[in-house]
Amino acid sequence: MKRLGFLALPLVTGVLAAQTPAAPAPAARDTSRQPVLSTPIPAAGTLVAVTNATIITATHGTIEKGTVLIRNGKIAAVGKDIAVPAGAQIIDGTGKYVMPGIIDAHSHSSGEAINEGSRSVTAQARMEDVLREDAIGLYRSLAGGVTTLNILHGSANTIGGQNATVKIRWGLPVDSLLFAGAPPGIKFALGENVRQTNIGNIPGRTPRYPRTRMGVEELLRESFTRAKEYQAEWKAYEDAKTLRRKGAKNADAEPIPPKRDLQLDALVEILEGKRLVHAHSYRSDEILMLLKVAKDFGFRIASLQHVLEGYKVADEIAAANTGASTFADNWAYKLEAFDAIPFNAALMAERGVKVSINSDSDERARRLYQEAAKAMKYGGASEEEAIRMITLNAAWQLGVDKLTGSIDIGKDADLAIFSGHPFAPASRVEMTLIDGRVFFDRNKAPTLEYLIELMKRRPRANTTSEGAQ
Amino acid sequence: MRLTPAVRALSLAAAFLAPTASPLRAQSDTWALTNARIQTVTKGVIDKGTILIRKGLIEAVGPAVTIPADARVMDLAGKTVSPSLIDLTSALGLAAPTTGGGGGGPGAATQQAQSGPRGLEPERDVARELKVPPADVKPIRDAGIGVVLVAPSRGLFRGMSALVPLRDSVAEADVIKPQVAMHIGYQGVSGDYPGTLLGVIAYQRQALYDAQRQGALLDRYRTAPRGIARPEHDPGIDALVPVVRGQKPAFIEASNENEIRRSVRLAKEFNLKATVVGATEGFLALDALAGRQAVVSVNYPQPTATTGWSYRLSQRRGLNDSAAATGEVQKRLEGNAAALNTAGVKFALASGGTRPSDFLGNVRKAIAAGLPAGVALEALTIRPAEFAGVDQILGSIEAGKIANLVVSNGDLLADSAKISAVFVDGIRYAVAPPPARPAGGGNAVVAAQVAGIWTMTLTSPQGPLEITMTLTQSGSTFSGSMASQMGTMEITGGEISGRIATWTTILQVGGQSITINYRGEVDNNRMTGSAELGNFGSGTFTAEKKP
Amino acid sequence: MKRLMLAGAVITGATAPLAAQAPSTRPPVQPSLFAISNTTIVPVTGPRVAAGTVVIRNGKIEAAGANIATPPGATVIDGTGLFLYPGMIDSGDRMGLVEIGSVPGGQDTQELGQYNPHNAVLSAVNPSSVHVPITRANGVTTALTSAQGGMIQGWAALIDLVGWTPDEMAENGRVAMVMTYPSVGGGRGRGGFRGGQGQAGDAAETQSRQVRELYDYLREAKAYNARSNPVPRNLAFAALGPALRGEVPVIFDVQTEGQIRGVLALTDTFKLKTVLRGATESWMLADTLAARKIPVIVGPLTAVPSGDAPYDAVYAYPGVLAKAGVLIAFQTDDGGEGDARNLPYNAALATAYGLDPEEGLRAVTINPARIWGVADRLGSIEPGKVANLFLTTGDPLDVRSQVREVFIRGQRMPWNDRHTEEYLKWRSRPKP
Repeated sequence: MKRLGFLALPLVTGVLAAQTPAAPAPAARDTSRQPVLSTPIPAAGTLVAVTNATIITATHGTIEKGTVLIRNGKIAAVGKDIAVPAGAQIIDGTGKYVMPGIIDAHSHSSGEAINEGSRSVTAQARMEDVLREDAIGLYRSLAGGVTTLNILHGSANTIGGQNATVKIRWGLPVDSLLFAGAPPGIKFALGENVRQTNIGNIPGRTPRYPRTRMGVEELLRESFTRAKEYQAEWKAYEDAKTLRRKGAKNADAEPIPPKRDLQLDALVEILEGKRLVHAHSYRSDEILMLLKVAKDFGFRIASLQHVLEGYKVADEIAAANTGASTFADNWAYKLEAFDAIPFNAALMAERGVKVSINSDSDERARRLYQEAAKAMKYGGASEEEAIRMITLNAAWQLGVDKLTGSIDIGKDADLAIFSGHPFAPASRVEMTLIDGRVFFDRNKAPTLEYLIELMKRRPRANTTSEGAQ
Repeated sequence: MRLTPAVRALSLAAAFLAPTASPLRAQSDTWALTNARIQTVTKGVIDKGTILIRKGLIEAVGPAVTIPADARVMDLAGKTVSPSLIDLTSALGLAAPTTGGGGGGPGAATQQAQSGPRGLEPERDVARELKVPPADVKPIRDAGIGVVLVAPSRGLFRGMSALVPLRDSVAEADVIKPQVAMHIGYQGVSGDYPGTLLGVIAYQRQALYDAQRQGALLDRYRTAPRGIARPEHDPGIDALVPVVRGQKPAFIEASNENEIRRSVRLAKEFNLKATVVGATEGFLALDALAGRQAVVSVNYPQPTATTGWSYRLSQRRGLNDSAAATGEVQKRLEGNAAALNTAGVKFALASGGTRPSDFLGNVRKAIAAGLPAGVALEALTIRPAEFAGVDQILGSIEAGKIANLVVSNGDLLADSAKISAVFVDGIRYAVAPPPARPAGGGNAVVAAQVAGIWTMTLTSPQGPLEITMTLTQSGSTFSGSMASQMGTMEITGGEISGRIATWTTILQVGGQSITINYRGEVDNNRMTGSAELGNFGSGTFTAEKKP
Repeated sequence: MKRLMLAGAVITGATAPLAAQAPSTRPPVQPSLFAISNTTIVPVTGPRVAAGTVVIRNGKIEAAGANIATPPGATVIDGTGLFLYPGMIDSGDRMGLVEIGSVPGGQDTQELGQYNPHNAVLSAVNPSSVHVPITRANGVTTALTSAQGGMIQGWAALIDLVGWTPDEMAENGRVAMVMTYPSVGGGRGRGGFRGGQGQAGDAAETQSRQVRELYDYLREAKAYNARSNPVPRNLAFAALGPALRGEVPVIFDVQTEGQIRGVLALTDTFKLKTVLRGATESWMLADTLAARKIPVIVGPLTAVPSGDAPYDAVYAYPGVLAKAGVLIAFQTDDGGEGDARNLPYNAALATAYGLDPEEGLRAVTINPARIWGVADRLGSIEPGKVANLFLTTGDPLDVRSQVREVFIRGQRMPWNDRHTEEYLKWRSRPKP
């Protein structure tokens, strides 16, 4: 086999900066990645300007022939007639459209495990423990303009595991993918998947409780009742410690701490509003059930996921200050998805719900921009509202809307640069930036076009024998 | 009684042995190995010296040692003696795990009624279970290994390992050290919690917190039991208490980058005295391994399974870059130990499941990739002894240590080294030279004869094809042609290695060239094999030679 | 149906919007007379006509162009500001064969056994499937539905998305024979050390055996069909007669280059009228396929590229084929997830990665009509053709466009499909 010496040289073109960036903390870990097994790490986005582009801000309209100035990974300025300092890495946006990097609020990408389905409550499991940074699905989503993912536990359990919010910093190790500053979250699930009725009884295995929707409610109440008791136990312990420390006469001997329970720890965090709940749900009745359970126990559901019947109870969802993250038009694959309508997103938005459109699949994540446009088609959502469904609204649901999700000064420079309007048919992603660094550039990406060019240049016929048989 | 260093060492050695063991249970002779080049590992090389072995221990070693009258003298002129190797990754004598753990899906549930260990037994004590078939011992020992650390190979809390000498018959009484370490891994149990990696890590953390608490409760109960409820007795958690206090080492099996990082994170969270075992992608996690120690496996994984292999898919590359990239990654994997060495990580080398006969060959690959040979030898002897806490009695050739030696013709890690004998507890085991194998140089091997006219039937996606193949042979190469209804093709690159014949033809069809690679196994006048037909897929063939 | 009452598509004439046009009992010939006026007509086979009028009579397009008089008694639909396109054709899905994916009772997509050439899906198509009105609401008026699984799936049916019975729906109930070609098992078999080798070897052997079986089967079928009065009758072999005589197309659902080459060899051996479908690696053989005039049904574009393929391989291959001169048409391969209505968005994704937009439109209209032998009836707006049309606010490939009217066989489709009904009903829920 002929060696074509592409491998050793990361292809660096004139686009990259001339200045040497002062290395921010993550760069120290960057240097441990070695060529061949890693992809060249993009230069830190210390001073970047995307110029002369149509900028879709998601918060304050669209700016024609505008510039986004990025300093140290954050958006420093956005508008027309922005002075670009000398030494900036210029990305020429002429004819291009810039929108905030797409945020997918429901992903299972890069997880080496998705469902710890052996128990109905697994709040102790953590997605960040099982991620693998080189899953090709991450790259393909990046090539579709996605910058942030909400990596969730699967929907096998009523109370699933803890989520991981990540930015797709392709090429860096897992620790560097985690979105610093993102509040922790957790997955709940209701309905058919949890009841396991679609897979039927497994021979030799006891069916797992719950098998009905009322059982799901019961399990939720049971779990949070235990969590409240655990919370009280620890409070009593802390109080006893305080008493003893203060030398109170009626203090006990050195109190024994209660057993630490990682599962109940997570549930208590939910009760205390420190952990965001993302709940997979379909039917209107189970949505209402969950909202009531949360209310009874004093916590908020951050987002309902899929929520395909959300349009039926949109007012209740809005009143609970709960977001909804749904599909554009996927339906009929399960009985509980039968009442789904493509107008779901627009109708919920109309009633005041913060709606996002998600993928729940590596495949769909690549074209969320096309999915979001469906909110305009079905139900007449405005363009800005539809853009927000894959940017700012998703950011709000994940608790990172102060950090990303729109092109505003002070936010992370997470951007997707398109060849045309993201909703127009012939548009595609040309570049994706995270923290001002170019993690995807179609001009450097291996495309089919490029592969065919290579094959044409070979003296032999149009065959490939790539890869071992 | 004068406490000579030997006797002092002997008492120390006795302290490590199981109480019922008699150091003289196996008859070991008194040996004087003379005129040998002695690689002591810890005290340099003695170009020409003598090792005196008595009662299973090294009584003396040096350039000039008085040979007692009762010693059997063995003249090792021209030979090198090194400490025999210590392999910290073995599952010798343990029943193979019944199910593959890690991700118990619906199908696994049918095996729920298994009585064997599921991988969730921290209290499991390997020393009590050992049943080593002698036939299993010999191949490992023939590779120069004298001692292995035996631990279960799957599960999340696998149990506690035992350090075992590779004598022909090994029983619990012979164990050098029981409960060496707590072995931890990342496979789940089938059909139950934790079934996947998600549950495994959560379970491990919870168990270690429970052990912390249990330790505190037990301490309290021990000092002042009156008036308080007694702690529950949970053998699993009880076994983890010394681990979580850093008193018992934890050996965590972690091979790829993320496994290594996960294991270090666990070690940090619970302040474990942890050793990473496997670490085949250690070079991708040098920052995590800084200041830690690792048992580095030389069972190099497939390049295509290496973390980051898929990054190629995001970079412009040439056609057919897979082969080139595979080669580059292979080199990187083989350079793993060298990278760890350069980064200052303390490590031992281990087989990690490599076939014993390939073990030293794989170590040599690491040396070829940049690991200094001296470091490699240390990593096979004194380092593993340290990690197992037995460096006082094993791992080097010093007076007082156990007489575990390997005799080779020249430096043990040289490419041409051949092992002629291994001493375990002073017992000499001869090592027969390995039979000539077709792989490698093949100079002394008789190549099969393929000259003649063959009638071949090739079965491919395109259907069956009758071919007449005419060959002439010269030594281990051959040439000829293949004739069929598709035309006649010249054979190129015909080579015989033992009984394996490989050759190539190029088929011209419709203006295109298709390269076809054949590989056949010759058995007298018959040959069977396979053919790679480029983009037409692959096929199989049988052929008969006209006598 | 995206004809929103509130957005006010202007409808004149006697019929009130809420009263759906009741289809009469014997399509396609019906007493129906419509004129869609003052609209931009996109015939596909000819240049656009601004401010044009299309007259539909008795299920056919009677006239189309500028300066066409509205016949008296016609129901006039004002197309001002709108665009009229020919109804789109999905060249691959399971229309009518599956209702809810997780409910086996409603699925007729896969029969047991490897060789079922005599199975014909038309009789299993459920005319009342909820997917029918949902799909046509976005202008997809015709679908080629077939079974999956095994080696030979049987007859595919080309159906219009209207009709009381399957026969009424059918444009051609036996439009093509559907098959696949054996592939080397599941991916590259790169598992473990020795394990990997073994797997690759086994997979290759299995594939060889399957190929032999397929050849043998077809040879026997050919021999059977050559006999004048074979006894006993073999319905399976008999069903292969038209395909083996080259009278009907044979659709090969394949993916890899190896499979495609195998199909070409098979085509030569049995002189088949081959159509490739799926065929994501067909770009490697684009020139060959163009030279041999083998059409390729591309898609779904929502498939993930395999293994080592470039990230945009599936998006870009339709463009590569079209540039080489291959006749392409799109399929959604929808298995009951409501994806058939997204047929034009498959084409849209392809236009973002190299396919000419005009070709993209042709690939969902006239191209499939030609491939399936119905170009005289469907696929463009020309007088004499069947009135399968839709009126839309913009480019059908643009997701944002909304369909205002759909005609199939000259019948005006009611707007009350399940989704629109639920939308309007729940939109009017009073605040709790």
